[in-house]
Amino acid sequence: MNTEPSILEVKDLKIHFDTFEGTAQVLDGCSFTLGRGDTLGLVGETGCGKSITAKAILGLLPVPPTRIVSGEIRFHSRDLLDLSEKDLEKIRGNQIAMIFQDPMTYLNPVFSIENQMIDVIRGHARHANKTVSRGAAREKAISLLNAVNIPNPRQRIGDFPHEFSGGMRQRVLIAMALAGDPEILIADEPTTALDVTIQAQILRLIGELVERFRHSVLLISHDLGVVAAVCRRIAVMYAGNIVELTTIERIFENPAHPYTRGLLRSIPNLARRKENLVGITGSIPDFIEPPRGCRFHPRCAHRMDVCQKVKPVLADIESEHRVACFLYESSWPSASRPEERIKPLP
Amino acid sequence: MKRYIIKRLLLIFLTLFGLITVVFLISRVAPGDPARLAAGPDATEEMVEVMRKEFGLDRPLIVQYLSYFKGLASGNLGRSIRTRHNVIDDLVQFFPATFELTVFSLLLAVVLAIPLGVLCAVYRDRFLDHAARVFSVSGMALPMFWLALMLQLFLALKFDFLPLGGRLGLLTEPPTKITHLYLVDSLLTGNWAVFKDALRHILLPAFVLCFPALASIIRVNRAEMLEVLSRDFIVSARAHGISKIRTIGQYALKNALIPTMTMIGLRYGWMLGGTILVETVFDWPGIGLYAVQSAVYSDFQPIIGVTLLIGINFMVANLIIDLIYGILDPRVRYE
Repeated sequence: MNTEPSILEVKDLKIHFDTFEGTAQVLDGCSFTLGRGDTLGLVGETGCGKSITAKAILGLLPVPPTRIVSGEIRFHSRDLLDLSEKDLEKIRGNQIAMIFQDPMTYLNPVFSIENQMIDVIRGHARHANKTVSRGAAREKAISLLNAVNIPNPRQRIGDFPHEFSGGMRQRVLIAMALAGDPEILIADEPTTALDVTIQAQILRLIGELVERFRHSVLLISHDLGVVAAVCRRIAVMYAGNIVELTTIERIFENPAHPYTRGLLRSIPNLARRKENLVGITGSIPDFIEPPRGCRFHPRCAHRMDVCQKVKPVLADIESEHRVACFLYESSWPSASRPEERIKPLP
Repeated sequence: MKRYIIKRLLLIFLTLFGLITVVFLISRVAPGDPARLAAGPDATEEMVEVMRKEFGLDRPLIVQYLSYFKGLASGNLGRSIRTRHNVIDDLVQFFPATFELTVFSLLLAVVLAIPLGVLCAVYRDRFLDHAARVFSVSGMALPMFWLALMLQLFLALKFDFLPLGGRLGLLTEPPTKITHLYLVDSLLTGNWAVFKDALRHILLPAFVLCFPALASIIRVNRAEMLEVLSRDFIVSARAHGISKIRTIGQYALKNALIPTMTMIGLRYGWMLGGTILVETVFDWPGIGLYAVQSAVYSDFQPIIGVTLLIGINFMVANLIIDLIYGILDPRVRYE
């Protein structure tokens, strides 16, 4: 595994949504760690709980209807779930920053970029018990815009969001996220709403910034290609569970979980003929009454009896390669085999 | 921007032209003979005819209509049969009272309704929200005259807490006329006793007048705040560590104010209409009371004058609101 000490550790996180139809169990015991300078990609279909996980880390989920049922989110050994709103405000943007999917809607339309950035910069200073003048904050904002390659930042800083293109807006959001010099950068589908050419530029920018500032990155995407461009490690999520956690190389060379394999087969490839493009049959399960056992079993070609009764947990099948699937039961190290690791459902 | 304002002002003139035409026609088909009423019950037929001639009522309708416009061009709105003054002079005398009442009432509504709307959205479905909902529904449902009478009955007559009506107490000397608004003038001259008296007199009519506006502004602002608070840029402001209070009071509110402004502009016009009732109940010497008294006499020149004045006010207020949009929302382009 990752040798550097982990700064973020998500442990067995369970999140439920209260809806009119019943309780949706959207996150069903999700665990992963993020080390210093580490880059982890969280991949899965829309609705599998990726964004929920990211928002939970920053305490941004609306409290009803969301309920965090159990689990821990340890950041430097503090559990973020125990923190007050005030303490979270100090962490948000300052230590853990986030950029979002749609730059069109994540900037406030009625304030200029200048005002929004100055607010963020001065807010961070206030949390550190320092005061920064508007002029100094403005200079810092300009240098940040410069760092994310916005042309003529000095002229453009007074502009409003609608005067920027989508790619430029995403750069502005990245600049805002960098304002507090965070340790962790969470990027929630940062390129999904952008054109492919812009997408490449933004990914390159994130990659460069990670190199330069040694941020740890949690990149969320439904696109394996995007994750491969930035991340060293990858976690594949399915219906609120992490089903496979390994390095980028392994996921492409030796995908283990049947869902991961299905996902890889679903990527269009010029070298392959159209008829070879197979999706995964079936669709994402109902979160209100999820399938018992492994949530993937109704769609799985390798389904066994045990899959319908017991939920598999993430276990090592080789070094830096953990899979939650009974197909690999034989390769589990004996230490992780004891019965308590496979909890029968009530 | 300049072109936009000019265009809007031209549009206002066009609308006023239509407004005058409609009011002119309605007033002439209404029953009642103003000349006879003006001449008095004992007047002979000849005296009534003299009266009719004096006020130009013997001429054909189209001539009267055209001569009204001719007068209008030179600032002449005709003469009131009842007060025998030029209508324009009467309006100049009575309008400041109405303007003071309406603006005070509107400010009261805005100052109370916007924070309440925000709080209702933030504490959605909690006690405050429910209480404000009951208050709002009753604000829409209660007839204004009933509310006015009840407040007079309890606050003025029973508990002698506030005066029953009028603009100032009988013994109070009006302040030096600068703006003709008593509250402003007394403040400008530092006359605290008069200011206090004027404030006590304006409170009841202003509250009655603003009650329905209060209700609707709370509802609109609450709904807008709820909508805005669920938007993505609020999540990202929070993610960037912007405090909750700032997110709500600045980032969300500025967005929510845009539709709320529309309601405020509309309400100003409705309030001007509402003064007709409120001024009558509270004996407030404004154009509402003037219009009612003129209507009783079938004295239509003042009625047209008042209508025109309310129309201008309403349209200018909405022009101002449209210009405020531009301050609130940078995406608004005036073309």
